Amino acid sequence: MNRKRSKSPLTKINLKKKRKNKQPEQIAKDHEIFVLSEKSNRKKIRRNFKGKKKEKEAKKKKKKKKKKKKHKQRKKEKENETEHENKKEKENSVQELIEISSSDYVLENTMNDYIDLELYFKESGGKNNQNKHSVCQPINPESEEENLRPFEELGTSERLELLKKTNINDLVKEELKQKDLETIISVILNSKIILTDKVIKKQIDKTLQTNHSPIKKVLPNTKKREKLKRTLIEKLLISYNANLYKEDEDELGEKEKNQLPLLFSKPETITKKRLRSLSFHELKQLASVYQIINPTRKKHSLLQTLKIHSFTLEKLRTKCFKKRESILGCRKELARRLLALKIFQKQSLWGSDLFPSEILLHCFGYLSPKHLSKVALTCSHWNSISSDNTIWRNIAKQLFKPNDPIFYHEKNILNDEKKEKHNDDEVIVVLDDDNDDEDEDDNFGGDGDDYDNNDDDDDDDDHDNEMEKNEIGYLNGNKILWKKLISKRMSRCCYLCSSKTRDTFLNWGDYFCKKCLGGIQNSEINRTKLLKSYPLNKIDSNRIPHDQRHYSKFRYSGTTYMYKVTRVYDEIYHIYGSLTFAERFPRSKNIHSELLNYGILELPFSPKSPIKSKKITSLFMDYCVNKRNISLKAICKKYSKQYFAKITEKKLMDLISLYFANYPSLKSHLEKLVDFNRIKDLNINPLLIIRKKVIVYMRELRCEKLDKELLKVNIIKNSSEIFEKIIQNSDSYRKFILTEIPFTNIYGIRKLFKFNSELFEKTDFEKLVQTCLNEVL
Amino acid sequence: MTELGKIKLVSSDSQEFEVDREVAAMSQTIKNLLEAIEDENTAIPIENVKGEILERVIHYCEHHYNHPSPKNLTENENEYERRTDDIEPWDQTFCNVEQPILFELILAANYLDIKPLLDVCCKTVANLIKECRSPEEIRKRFKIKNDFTKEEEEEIRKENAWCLDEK
Repeated sequence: MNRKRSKSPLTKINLKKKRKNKQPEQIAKDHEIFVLSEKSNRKKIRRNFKGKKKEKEAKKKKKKKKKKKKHKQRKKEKENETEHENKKEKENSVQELIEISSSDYVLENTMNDYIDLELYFKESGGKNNQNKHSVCQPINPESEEENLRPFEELGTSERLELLKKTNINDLVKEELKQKDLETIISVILNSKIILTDKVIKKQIDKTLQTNHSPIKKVLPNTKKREKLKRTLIEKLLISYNANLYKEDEDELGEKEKNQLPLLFSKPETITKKRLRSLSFHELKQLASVYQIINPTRKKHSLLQTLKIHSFTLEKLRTKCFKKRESILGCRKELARRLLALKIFQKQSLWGSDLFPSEILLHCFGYLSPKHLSKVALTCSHWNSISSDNTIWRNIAKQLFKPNDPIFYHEKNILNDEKKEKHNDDEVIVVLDDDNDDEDEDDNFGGDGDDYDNNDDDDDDDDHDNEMEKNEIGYLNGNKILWKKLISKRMSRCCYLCSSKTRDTFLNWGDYFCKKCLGGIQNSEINRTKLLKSYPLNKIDSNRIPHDQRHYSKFRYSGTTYMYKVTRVYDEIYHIYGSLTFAERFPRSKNIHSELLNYGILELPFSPKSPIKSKKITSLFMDYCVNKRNISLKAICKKYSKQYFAKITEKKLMDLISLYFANYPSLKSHLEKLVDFNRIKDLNINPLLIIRKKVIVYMRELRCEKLDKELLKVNIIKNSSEIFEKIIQNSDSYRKFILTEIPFTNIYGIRKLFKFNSELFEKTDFEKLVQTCLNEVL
Repeated sequence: MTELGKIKLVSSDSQEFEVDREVAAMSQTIKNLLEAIEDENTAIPIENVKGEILERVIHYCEHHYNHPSPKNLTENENEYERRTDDIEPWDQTFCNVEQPILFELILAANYLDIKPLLDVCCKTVANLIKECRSPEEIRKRFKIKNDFTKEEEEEIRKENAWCLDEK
């Protein structure tokens, strides 16, 4: 086998000459091709062999003689030797090499050095077939080159690097003609044996040692010869010894493995992906190359894998054809339909249902509701597409934030439809608490779960639950609902009553009309809805007034938190105060413009316009509590003193109650701005306002602090005094104290007790206290 | 034989176009085909697309392959927000074609699965619709036949009254 392969057709050498600057991978590929072409050439060669044999032998001898003569001549006439002659000589030597290598029989018959060499290769090559895995030995122990490490020490990747770096052109620069190098390589390669480092080393050594070696002629310098030898070895090894890499390959990473020329990879490690990337032709080549290179190897698994993969490739190919067929089928169908349409309808394709509706859907996705409504009117096909659920949901998602109040009304809106009949005769509910509650229960029995008149804390929990529910609804809404919501939003209808006169105040005004927000004739129902709808997330349940009645006493006036409150102002304030400023002004990046929107900035704050002053109070409150906005701060500073000086009695009362709200910053500001001494001159009873607050203070056991604060505002000298008055004046508050103040707190009880124990004689308070004290002590 | 890294596309009217492999891979359909077909020299038949349209599509792909738009990164921020006024100037001129061509471009983009092209074309269509003031105008522009009865039309009008009234 080896012998046959070692025959090298002349064509091969020509091909190899083309290889000059190719990358190692390409060289390897070329090699594959040669291997293939070799088979076909072999027959031809065989035919010609016998005839050519003798001729060649004769030629050899002649040329050898000539060469020897020339050699002698050169020694004699070194200076006279022309370049031309040199060239000729080289050509001759090259030819010789080619011819030698092209004939097997020459080897046997001549004792020529070259032939000897060739023979040697044959033998050693045959032996080495069995020693393929022999450990590499240092090729070049005599090497004088310091920078070059022995080839064996290099890793696979380094070897590859080296191969890439060693360009044949570089060698040429070092006075070695490319032709010569190629010849050498071809000679060595033509032996077609399994090349191991040992073989190559010997081979090259021999080549270099022989006096007639073309290399020696070209490179008289031994150093350079050594270098050449090294590069030759490297090149040969890398190009043709796939086995050599097998030791190292396991250490390589995935990437490096993939970079390795396919021939050098362990067959088992060649990934399916990589095989798939090969063409059928390449696969065949690979298979044949493996067979040739590893003739003694058992029928390797690679061949099997190759078979498998070629099978999968076949499959893929058939798949492809099927695909093409289906595409073809589609095309025909489409063409048929389009043609039919064009002929029979003579109209654009846009409106036909043959135009892929998902594309139309995509187009309509860019339209606003306004345009969509027009689109819907064009034709039935477009109408059906434009009313697609996804379009409307996307619009809704654009329009509404997840925390939009509208989602808290989702239920209500749908309920509204059902209950429209009932609500037609909705009576304007008088602010009579008990009746109001009853009315609600009657009208909205279904809402009973969400609304609990008697327990505020529970009510708040329900808010949270409702929010969660609505968040799901936000995602799962249907077209009808989205359309409804969007229509309300777009047409600027009030979310609650669908009337179109909606105010454009802060965010609440965007959703609710004035009537629903705070109209005096507004019903408790709407108000509760409103309260429910607003995400009162983090309300401190302790601060929620315990007296249900207070809820009915406040009203919304037009804007977000411009509520008109009398007695329970502070309580409401607590509720809304717990919401941050930002939460109440969600859209106001620029509060200034917001304020301009509802005309506060244009008008100076004057007590003459009560509404404005109300707003200012709220603004001021906001400002004091959350000193966030610079413009707001400026407004308050500019107008507040002037405004607060002329404040009305009622307003002053409000302010006092504000003063006792638990906001330190608010307190300090009010102390600066408001002249609380006016209270003495006025015929108002501040106790009415603050008594509840005082109780809260009492409850929180901060009597001493309260005393100080009361002194500050010149209302009363100490808390006990005010307490007495409160208790004297009101039975209800007496009861309230009895039930509300934590009895177990001894300190609190003592404090209370100290004020006026006689006051409690009427009740069993003393007894209670006594028992409590006994228990604790 | 095609050059290295190039593939041949054949339109429905058997015009041949030689395109960079990478450029052609902008189309998901071609990309999938290329992965399935191992022989690089095979001409890929684009049977649904006429030569005239395919030429435009290739032109688009080449331009966008050479000028990748950085917008793709920020697209995800406003997932639901759909604007039609953000078409790049080059795309605008590209889409400024006769309606039949635009129509075929959309079909081609859909078939070849080139998302950016489809988006741009759809935006252009949306803009065309937006320019119309009335349903009649839309019908005229897109040559759509009104197949509603009077009652049906009235019903839809009623249904959408809220957004029709608004100016």
